[in-house]
Amino acid sequence: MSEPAPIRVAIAEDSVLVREGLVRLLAEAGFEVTAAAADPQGLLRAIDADRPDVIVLDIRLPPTHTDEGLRLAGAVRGSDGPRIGVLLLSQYVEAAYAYQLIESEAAGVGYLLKDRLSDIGELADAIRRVARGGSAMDPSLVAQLLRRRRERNPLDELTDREREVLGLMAEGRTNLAIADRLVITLKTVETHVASIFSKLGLEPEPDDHRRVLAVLTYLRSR
Amino acid sequence: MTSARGLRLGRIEVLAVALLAAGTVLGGVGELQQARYSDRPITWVVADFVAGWTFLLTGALAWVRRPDSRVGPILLAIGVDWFVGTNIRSSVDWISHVARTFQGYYEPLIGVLVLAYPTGRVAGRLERSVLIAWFVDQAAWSVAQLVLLRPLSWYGCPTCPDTIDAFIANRQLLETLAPMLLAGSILCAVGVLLLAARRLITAGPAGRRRLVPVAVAALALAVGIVATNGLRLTFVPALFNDPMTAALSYAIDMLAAVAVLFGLLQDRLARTAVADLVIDLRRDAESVVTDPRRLRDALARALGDPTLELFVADPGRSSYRDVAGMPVQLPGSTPRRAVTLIGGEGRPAAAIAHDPALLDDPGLISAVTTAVRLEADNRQLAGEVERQLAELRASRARIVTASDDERRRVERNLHDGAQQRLISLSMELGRLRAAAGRSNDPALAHGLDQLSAQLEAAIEELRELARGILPPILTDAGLGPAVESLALRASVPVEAEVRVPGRLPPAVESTVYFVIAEALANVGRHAHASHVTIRISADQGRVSVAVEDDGIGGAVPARGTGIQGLMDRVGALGGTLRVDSRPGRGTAVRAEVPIPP
Repeated sequence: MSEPAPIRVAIAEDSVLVREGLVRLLAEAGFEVTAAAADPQGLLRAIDADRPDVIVLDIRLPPTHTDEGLRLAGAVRGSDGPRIGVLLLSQYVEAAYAYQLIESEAAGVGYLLKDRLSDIGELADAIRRVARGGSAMDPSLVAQLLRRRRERNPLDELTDREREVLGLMAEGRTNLAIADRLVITLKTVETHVASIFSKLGLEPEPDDHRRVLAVLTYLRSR
Repeated sequence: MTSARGLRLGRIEVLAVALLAAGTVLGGVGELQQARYSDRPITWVVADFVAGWTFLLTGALAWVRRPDSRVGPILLAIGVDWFVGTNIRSSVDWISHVARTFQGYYEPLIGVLVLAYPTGRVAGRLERSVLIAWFVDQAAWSVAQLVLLRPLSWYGCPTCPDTIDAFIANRQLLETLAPMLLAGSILCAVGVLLLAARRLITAGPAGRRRLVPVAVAALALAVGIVATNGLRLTFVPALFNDPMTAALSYAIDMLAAVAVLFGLLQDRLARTAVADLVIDLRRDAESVVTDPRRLRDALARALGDPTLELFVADPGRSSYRDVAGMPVQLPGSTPRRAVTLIGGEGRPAAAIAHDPALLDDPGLISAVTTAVRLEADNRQLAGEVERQLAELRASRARIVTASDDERRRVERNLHDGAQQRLISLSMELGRLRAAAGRSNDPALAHGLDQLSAQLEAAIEELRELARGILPPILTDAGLGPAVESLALRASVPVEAEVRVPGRLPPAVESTVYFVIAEALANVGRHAHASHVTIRISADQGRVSVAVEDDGIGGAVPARGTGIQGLMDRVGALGGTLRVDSRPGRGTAVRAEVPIPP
């Protein structure tokens, strides 16, 4: 059984400390870091020179330090050629940015708080999901959306376990990952998912990333 | 006279009344002598008295009503001298001598009246020369009579006793001198008439209007004097003593005195025009004072000078513009055109070029210019206050902007500094935890886990602190996303409706954001609400924001310093903030903020 080729990652992060930390962290976690740029131009050049599987980038980048990362993500995903996964990192997680990111296509995108960098397992998992064409939404954002108070709240009809499963779905996790996380069987997860979709009046979605889009859109609309 | 002044008579009133009384007594006695010793009919004597008394009365009135003018004293002097002359037939020798010495000066005095009206001061060398010549002629005439004797028949009284027989009589010399002296007085009278005509012709419209009464008087008097003296000169006693001629002469004298008085009082009436001007300026202050044309018209009306020109000083105060706004050189004062500066403390705000005759009544022009200056000062003060207010508003708005800039800077510094450092720390810690997990040292792993949890809490706290200072989402994405972010975090269901096209100026966005943030925080703290509605709309240069809850109401805005601070912030941008919170009816926070162009 041969080792699969390592996932190739390019980084854009203007803080030297964080950038170098990331390079070290990802290398240790078995990723191949193809480039570590400090600004959008650097990353674009690196992509041209050596196309990575995933880019990991800060939302605030030079020159204006506002939402360059977000715009860069849109540009990279809109470009021709093999798909590149995008994992956006931010000091703040804002719903508006998350929805802008997944607006058309939740496949191969992730949006995480920088806080997640402290848990290499979680970061590596997110990169792998994005590389696979899945999604990775920050748990704090999902929690915010689930916690959001609503007038008439169909979420109230969910059981606690179902709410947990819904949250993990929204984060972009597969049924298998959910079963693993909750230490339940895959069959049980599938039952929960079917029940959730039924209670919320959603059409079942076979693809994970489509499921993320549907769930997040549902959470935003109420 | 007002009653207040009437209670205590001034010096001038006392003097005028005293002279009036003395002249009346003098005239009464003199005319009685005339009635007794002359062959003139009593009606003539009465007419003579009435004519003289008209001068006394008009003189007293003129002096009291226009103490600034010497016309009153001149009229009184004419009246007194008129009656001095009636006493030449006094049975008391010395009175007769005094009367002979001083009689007849009323004629040159009338000349003075004509040329000195309306101020009572004679301007012009030629004018003064003619008048002096007339007085000298009169003096020579008096001396000649005293020294050379004159038959009383000259006065139309052939039967009168000649009381100065003791004097050396030299009829020959007297009869030689008399025509010359009479001719001199006629020449002087004609000169005065011509000079008066010149004044009338050269005067501006305002001056001409004021000179009309005295012109009538001058013409009448000159004709009268020339006629009577001419008749004396031609030795036609019959005509000279004709009652019709005399009646005409007296009528002319009275007409002159009354005309002069009327003219003076008319002048006084002109001053009421100042009151009209003040009313003009007040009623229509905006346009009259700001529109030089209208101010010029108002001034021309008030001063009765249609040729009046107005020059407005430039703010720099060294140059002037005409009413059309064209720069002009301020003309200098000439005898035909006077220039008066308006404005205090040597800093004229304007100047008027006008008929110099207006200066004859300094009170009038100073009243008018003072009225204009007061109004201009008022406007200047109002403008100053307005300007300071505008400056204050701008400064408050700048403070808001500066404070936002500072917030942005602090947030950016936190983000780039402390937060990145803590993130990098947490990454290192994460590597250590991974290593510890492999090292089979549960105590170390546990310790590192705890450390990591604390670090995470620190990062979270720092994030919330930074967000409270100024959320980057507001700066980066605007009100809509920022309000959505607030709504997601709110403790009650929030329905937000943001109708704002594009982005607004940063200070407006941040102010609206903070209004909503504070209102939501208060809802969470006090309102016990189950629902909040946020509405933001931008139209007609204003942003309106309303945050309404269905809670218990009864919030007192003054108590929360947060709301007070927001009111200051909204006010600084020229907006308004209202909190409606009746108990049981929920709380509504409404703000309107103008969008600067």
